[in-house]
Amino acid sequence: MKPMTDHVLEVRDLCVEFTTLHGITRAVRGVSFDLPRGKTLALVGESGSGKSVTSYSILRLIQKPGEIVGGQILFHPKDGPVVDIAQLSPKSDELYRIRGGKISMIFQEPMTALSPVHTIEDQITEAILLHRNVTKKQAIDLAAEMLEKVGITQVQQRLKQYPFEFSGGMRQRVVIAMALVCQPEILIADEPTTALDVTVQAQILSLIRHLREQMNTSVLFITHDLGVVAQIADEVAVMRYGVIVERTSARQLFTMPLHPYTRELLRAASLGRERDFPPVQQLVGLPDGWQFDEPAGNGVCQMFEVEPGRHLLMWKGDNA
Amino acid sequence: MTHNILCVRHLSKHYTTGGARLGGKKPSNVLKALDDVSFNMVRGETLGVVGESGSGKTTCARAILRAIDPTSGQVFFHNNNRVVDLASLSSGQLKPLRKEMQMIFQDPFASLNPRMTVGDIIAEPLVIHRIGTRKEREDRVVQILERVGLKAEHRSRYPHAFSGGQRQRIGIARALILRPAFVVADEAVSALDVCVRARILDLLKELKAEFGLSIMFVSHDLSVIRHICDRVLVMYRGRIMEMGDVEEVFNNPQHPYTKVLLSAIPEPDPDRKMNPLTTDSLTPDQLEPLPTVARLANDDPITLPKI
Ligand SMILES: Nc1ncnc2c1ncn2[C@@H]1O[C@H](COP(=O)(O)OP(=O)(O)O)[C@@H](O)[C@H]1O
Ligand SMILES: Nc1ncnc2c1ncn2[C@@H]1O[C@H](COP(=O)(O)OP(=O)(O)O)[C@@H](O)[C@H]1O
Ligand SMILES: [Mg+2]
Ligand SMILES: [Mg+2]
Repeated sequence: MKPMTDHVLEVRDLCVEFTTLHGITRAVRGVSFDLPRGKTLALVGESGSGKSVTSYSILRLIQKPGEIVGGQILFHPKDGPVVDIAQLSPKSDELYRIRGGKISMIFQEPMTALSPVHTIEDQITEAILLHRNVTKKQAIDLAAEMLEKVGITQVQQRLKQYPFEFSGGMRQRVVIAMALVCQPEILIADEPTTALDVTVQAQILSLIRHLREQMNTSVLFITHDLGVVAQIADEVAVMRYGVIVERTSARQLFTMPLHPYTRELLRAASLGRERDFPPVQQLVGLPDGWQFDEPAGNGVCQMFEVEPGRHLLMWKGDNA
Repeated sequence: MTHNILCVRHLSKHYTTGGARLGGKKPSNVLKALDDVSFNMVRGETLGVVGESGSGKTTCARAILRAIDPTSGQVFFHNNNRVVDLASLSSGQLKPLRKEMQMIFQDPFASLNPRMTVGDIIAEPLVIHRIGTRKEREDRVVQILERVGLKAEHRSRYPHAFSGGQRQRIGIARALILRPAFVVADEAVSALDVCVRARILDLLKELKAEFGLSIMFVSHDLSVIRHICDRVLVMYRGRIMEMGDVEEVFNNPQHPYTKVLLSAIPEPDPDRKMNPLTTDSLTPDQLEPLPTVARLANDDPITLPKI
């Protein structure tokens, strides 16, 4: 049976831990969200909240001493059966086919994805040949076509150049071209504009918006900047201390945030413009015996759907 | 009588790159990191300096404070009923004036010895200027620590034990312990998370009123500039394109470059989708400073007209 809403990705109770000399850090402590097909979901939160760990987990890029210790990462490809990426063997062909093929990722620092010693042409065609059954010649044509799509001019000349010959913004465009050239179903973008000047950021955001529509890619966009969220997202999940505290449509989040932390973030981001919100109890019904604050000792938490499509995380002490 | 604490005239900083500098035969290139900049700063105001990375903001601030030596130009600093040209003073003449001018950095500890305790870090300016006895210095450290929202017992700890926001509070305490008249904050909140950033900005506003500071606030972040500054300078490639009252510049920008910059602000409001402009369509003529900016360069710094 087809689900009512078509989700390309469903993350369920994802838990990721790091074992260090100082003990175990529970970086992600039960994260669940859905990425609707063809839409952009923004994962927003302050530094250290677990955004990158969550996004790396989806491609199984978490390395020792980190480990996915629980949860499901259900990928629903357009054609083909659902795959739980969390269950794939780290060296399996299936994981390689997904990574960079059906799901690709871009990072804050474009050089994460680029080699300084190879030309742009070599790097993009390599990505194509790995995932698509085409000749070298066809791969070069595809690379050129994709570079044009991301707004790079004089493509034939640019293909022969090395990353250091590009500005920061142009490099990020190259990386986006590389990520999208295999027509992935999902693009994960981890703070791709954080290191860029605002004017360049604005162009990259427009580009991602435009390409998403043109190529019908679903986007998981990670950022700490609520301004960027407002510009790019359809859906938003707010993260803090390894959990998602509120999940809703971008429109609802910005017009009437419910969780106290979301409200704090929005106030801080709207510098100088006072934003007052009515008490949440006046807006939606909240479950009895549950609270927003995490209890000091052991506690259990649960997401409640307080309105259609609108989820809030609530806590309860163990002894309650 | 003048309201101005600072009158900067024709300030430039050029760097020679490549070629001759390294003894090579290639002709050297001159990079005009700061290119003939003139402006006034009103006593008690927060003056924003905004622009993209590489536009010369840090160079401007450092040339004023003589952290680097400007290639040419004057920096008239008015303090205690005296006017001095900071750009022409020797380092010996500068030393007593340094008490009056302090800097808050993005990472306050990048240039400090990691083995110094928080107490040592904050007291160091007092030691350098030989102010107070050991006991008096200690009292002042405790006082300023508490004023910036930290505790007396934090004195004996090391900076790495503190969060980003707390570290910035320590940096502010160090900058203010000498009770300077003029403070430059260079990207002071740029590395902080939004909630922390909002609190540090509030703290700076309070301290400014309490200490009667004049603050030059350097940032690439337009929304921060709008929030904290009274006036703003918009820089592009080492030059000031536009300057004026912050609300006026944001609500009614006159310079095409300012318009480009403002069009790129991502507002936290999905109903205000940005429609970014680019500099690509601007001609070199359009990237010249506004006439009002150019004219100020010829204003006599002693009569000090308010712009
Ligand atoms: N390599 C690592 N070793 C130990 N802990 C880590 C490592 N990477 C991440 N963590 C932990 O995971 C938390 C979340 O990190 P991250 O996902 O990078 O945050 P964000 O991307 O939201 O800034 C961090 O606060 C840290 O405690
Ligand atoms: N010590 C230096 N040597 C050579 N070039 C420099 C030096 N310092 C700064 N620059 C150049 O001067 C320009 C302005 O830099 P800066 O003032 O740091 O800009 P901003 O603070 O606005 O980002 C840049 O192009 C930078 O590369
Ligand atoms: Mg991250
Ligand atoms: Mg700078």
